Amino acid sequence: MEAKKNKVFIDCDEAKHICDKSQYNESSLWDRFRLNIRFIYCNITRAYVKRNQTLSKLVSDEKVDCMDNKSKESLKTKFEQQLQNHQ
Amino acid sequence: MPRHQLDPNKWIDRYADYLFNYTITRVSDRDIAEDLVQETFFSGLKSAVNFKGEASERTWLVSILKRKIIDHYRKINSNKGKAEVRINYKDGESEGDWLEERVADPFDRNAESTIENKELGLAIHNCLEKLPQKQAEIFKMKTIQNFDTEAICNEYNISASNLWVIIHRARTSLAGCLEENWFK
Repeated sequence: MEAKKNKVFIDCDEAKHICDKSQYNESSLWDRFRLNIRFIYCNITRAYVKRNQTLSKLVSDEKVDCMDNKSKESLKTKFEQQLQNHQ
Repeated sequence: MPRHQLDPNKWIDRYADYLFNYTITRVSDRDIAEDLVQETFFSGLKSAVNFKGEASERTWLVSILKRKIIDHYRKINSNKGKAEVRINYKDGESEGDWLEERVADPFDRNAESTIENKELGLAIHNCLEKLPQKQAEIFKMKTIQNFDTEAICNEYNISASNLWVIIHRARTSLAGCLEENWFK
């Protein structure tokens, strides 16, 4: 595993994995370097990176929102009570 | 035989986020949005007997929510009307016409992009609904609510590598769905 981590040339699956992590700023500098190397010569990686970056841009905070978990749980509890009264 | 049937037990899991996103883009206040979504579910439950099954469950809930949002604005506007009697203003430094300054600027592109963002938000939620429930929940926690990897792993009792596999699958499906429904 350690040997795999030290390799400069990575396979496509690993490149995708690093790319996914990069969308959340969770990849290391070394990983990003290796991804960039593969990016230069691999069409599949290039397409994946482009697609993934577009998705991240679309799902930015301004455009998509969802209820936070606590509120949802509290809503669930209240709604279940209503549901029981209703039945 | 109605084409669609109601299943209130699954409403919160299936539609809470979609309805919340729909509302937040229209009222811009999280607390109010949560209240309106809650009222929508309660009203839906009360008027479930009137559901004819012609529209999908979600469309029907959205129609209730729309009325709730309109009622909300009617309520706050009737309060506002009492306060905003004065149209012109004049203070120490500035003077002007309140109404004139609020006429839409034809070169302002914000309105258009806001509408586009609202539609995009709903398109993303539509695609998220098509994912397996656990995958969608984990993706939302990680990407929209910005939870730490560790927190999600603890919540779902999964390993970090398992989480990244789920995220990868969710991202791939979501990108495919958006290409199909948004970019076409």
